[in-house]
Amino acid sequence: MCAAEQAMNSRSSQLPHETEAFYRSYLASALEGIWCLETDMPVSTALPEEEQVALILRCGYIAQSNSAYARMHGVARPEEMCRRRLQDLLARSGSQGAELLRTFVRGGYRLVENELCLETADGTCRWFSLNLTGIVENGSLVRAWGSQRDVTQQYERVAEGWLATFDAIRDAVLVMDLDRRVVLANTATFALFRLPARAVLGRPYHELLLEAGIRVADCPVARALRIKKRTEVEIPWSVRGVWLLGTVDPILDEAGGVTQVVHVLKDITERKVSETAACRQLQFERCISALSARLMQASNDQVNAEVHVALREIREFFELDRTELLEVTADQSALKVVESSPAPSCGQGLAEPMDVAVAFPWVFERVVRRGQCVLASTLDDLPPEAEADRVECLAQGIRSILVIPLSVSASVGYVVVAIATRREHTGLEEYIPRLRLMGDILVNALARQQAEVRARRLWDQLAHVARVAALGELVAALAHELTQPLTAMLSNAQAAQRRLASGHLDPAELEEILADIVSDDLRAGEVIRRVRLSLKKGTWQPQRLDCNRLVIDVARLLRNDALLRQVAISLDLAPTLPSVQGDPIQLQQVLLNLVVNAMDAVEDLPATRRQVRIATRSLPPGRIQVEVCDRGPGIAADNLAGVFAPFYTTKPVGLGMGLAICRSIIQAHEGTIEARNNPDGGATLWFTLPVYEPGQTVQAGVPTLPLPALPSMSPGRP
Amino acid sequence: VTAASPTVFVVDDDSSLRRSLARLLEAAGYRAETFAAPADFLAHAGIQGSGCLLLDLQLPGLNGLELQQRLHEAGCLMPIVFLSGQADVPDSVRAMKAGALDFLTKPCRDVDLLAAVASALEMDRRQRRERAEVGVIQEHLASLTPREREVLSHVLSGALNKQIADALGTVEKTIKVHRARVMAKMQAGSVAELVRLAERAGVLPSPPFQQTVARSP
Repeated sequence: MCAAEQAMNSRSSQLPHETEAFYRSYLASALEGIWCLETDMPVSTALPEEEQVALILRCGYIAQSNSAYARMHGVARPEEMCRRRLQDLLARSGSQGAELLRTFVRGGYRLVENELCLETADGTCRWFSLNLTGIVENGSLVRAWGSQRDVTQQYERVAEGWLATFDAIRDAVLVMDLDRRVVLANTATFALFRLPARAVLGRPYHELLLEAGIRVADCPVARALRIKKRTEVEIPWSVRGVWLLGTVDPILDEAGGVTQVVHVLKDITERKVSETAACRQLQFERCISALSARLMQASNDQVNAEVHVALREIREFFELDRTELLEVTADQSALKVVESSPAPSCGQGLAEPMDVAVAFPWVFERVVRRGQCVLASTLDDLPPEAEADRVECLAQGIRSILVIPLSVSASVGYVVVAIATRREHTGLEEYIPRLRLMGDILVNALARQQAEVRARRLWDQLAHVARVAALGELVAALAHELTQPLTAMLSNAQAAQRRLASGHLDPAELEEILADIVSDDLRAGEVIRRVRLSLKKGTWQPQRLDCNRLVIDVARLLRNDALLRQVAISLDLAPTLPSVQGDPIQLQQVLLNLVVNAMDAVEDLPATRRQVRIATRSLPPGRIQVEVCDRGPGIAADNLAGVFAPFYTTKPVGLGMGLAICRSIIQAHEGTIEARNNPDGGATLWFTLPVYEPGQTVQAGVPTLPLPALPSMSPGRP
Repeated sequence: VTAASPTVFVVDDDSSLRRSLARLLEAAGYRAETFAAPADFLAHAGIQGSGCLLLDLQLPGLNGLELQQRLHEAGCLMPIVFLSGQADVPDSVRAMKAGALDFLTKPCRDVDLLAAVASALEMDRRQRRERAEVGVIQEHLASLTPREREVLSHVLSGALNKQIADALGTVEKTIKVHRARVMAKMQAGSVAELVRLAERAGVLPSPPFQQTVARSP
């Protein structure tokens, strides 16, 4: 023991005697209870703390007291308190007495304004503020003087005030000790746990949690006790469908030790739900925008796959068991499945095609005929008149069903069906607007797809018409091509007949004649085959071909026409030209078109200047070019860009589809087609095509490949 | 087929057709010569020869109608039978106006073709005969003196010797002598024959004198 502590001890040892003197003089007159505690034997201060406490408790008795003190113990006169054992007096305060004595011993045999709760004879609890000063002589505690005031009323007022405050708080507020036993709780707590106060107060908190069905692991109290800091967590209370915000504030003593914790539980279900809803909403929006983007880019043959993906997303998003998109037939009498997305665990659902209109007559009537939504969260929601539908639902294991009509141009064109089979899906109603939105997006895509298919069909027809028209212009030439071999055959045959009749038929000559007839017959057949091929509708037969050959064929086809119109067609062919891959008939049509146009362009010139030149050249790397050049008036600068637009024509009786179709065909061949005016007069139209590469077999052998891309139907470009 | 046989000149750019036509013509007893292009035919020495032309209307370089015109300009009067792949009315009218003998549409039957060829060759023969006759008359005309030509033209206009003498400022007797010489040189037996011969040779009567005669009572 150091000198400073000794000095303090000696100084503090003076104090008890003065206090004793004060108490003695004050004993009679004091309003507060004053008493003197003595022990049967001196308690050595050298003993270990616990032994001192035990000794004081065992040997202590009331030596003197005043009447105020006696009244506190429910007796009239102080004499009656004399010789009362301390043990007895503290018997009903549990460990509180020993605790107080421990504080007394540890604090140098002094207690200052310590709280003590004593149960009185009538069983009520009273709070006292206790002071105790021990007299230590010769290393032993010999006496102790105490004073105590009844502060019960004060306490109750304060406590009542606090409790009223607590109870006013709508959040549950609990005070817990270090053992996580509930010391204090407000009425909101009792309400939250749906328990009476007595089932909460004094209970270990984790028991409450277990009973309530909250995972103890989710409770922040333990953590707050460990880290000794404010802790806040969101606690899911799934059995109640509630979210709680749990806050724990530790109450620290002077030494920084935790004595108690204050735990507040706030119901944040509403916020959480709206947050979750917002989150889901956002998720849904993302889903929709992603879907829209995908559908925008989807080619016609991908649309159905995207619809399927969307249905799966809807099903997963809304936790449904099956989603379907059905199309109403044109006569509004039946539905046919466009796409269906059953949950993997639910099998195929409507595996066999069934007549929905027959199986679900009431639903069909409501949705398709009247354009109303049908929602049955449970089958009981179906009205009595929907008995057939209900039976069908039962048969299919459907427990909740939502059917939404989707309009296409003023009538119900499609129907979205959402089905739950594993459980009754109560939340379907709020999904209606979203499902409708999603459905509208899908239907728009499908409508667009159909419009494009229709437009494509129309385009094919137009292409066919244009082809026929182009051929009409060439009928004369083709007829000539046919008449040549026919005439030759006829003349040969008749020459042979004559020789035969005259008896002068030389076998060698006959052989020549027959050989010529055979070759002319084949020639006529070839002409017919070409015509037939040209007339055939939109079949795409890509093959490796030589553009020089193509030019020569076209020049030959047009030779007669050119002769009649006195147009000189000159060929300027590249000596070596890589092959391209394409449809010979379509490319022939393009070149025919360009050359016929060129011939039209020079029509009004003097015969000597009616010149059309067809040239081919290789454009490294990897392209070839075919150009048709005329000496005509050229193309007006305003029109130069628009010549490939549909319905562009300068001819009095032209459809204006020729060059548009040419462009479609060339684009489908991954080529380009352009027009320019020549510096020295006339116009040049040319197209380029990629060179055939042996590895490039994407198109080869596929009989029906994408047809020429549709040109934009907007009016000619500026 | 002998060298004396009439020749049919076939101009068509289609070799097979050319061959077959030649065969047919030869089987019918004609000589046939074939050309792929009008230019080849024009370059051929035989354009003044006898025969007829079987011509495709649509030909490279020069079409059939143009060839017809060039042959006319070259003084070739060979009859032409046109063969056409397509019967185009304006073209056929033009061809016929320009003297085409026939206009056949391919494919045509041998009888039609051979009939057309036969009539073309007949026409050629007639034309050649006529041209030979006119040649003789023209030779006779060429032997006349200028005075005799004058007298001839007055005789053709139907003037009497006296009137001719008046017009030429001489006496009737002298005119008589000229007239006799003209008749002899032209080998005409009568004035009527003389008029016919002169007509065929394209000699015209003297117009002013005719007017004078017309005015006389």
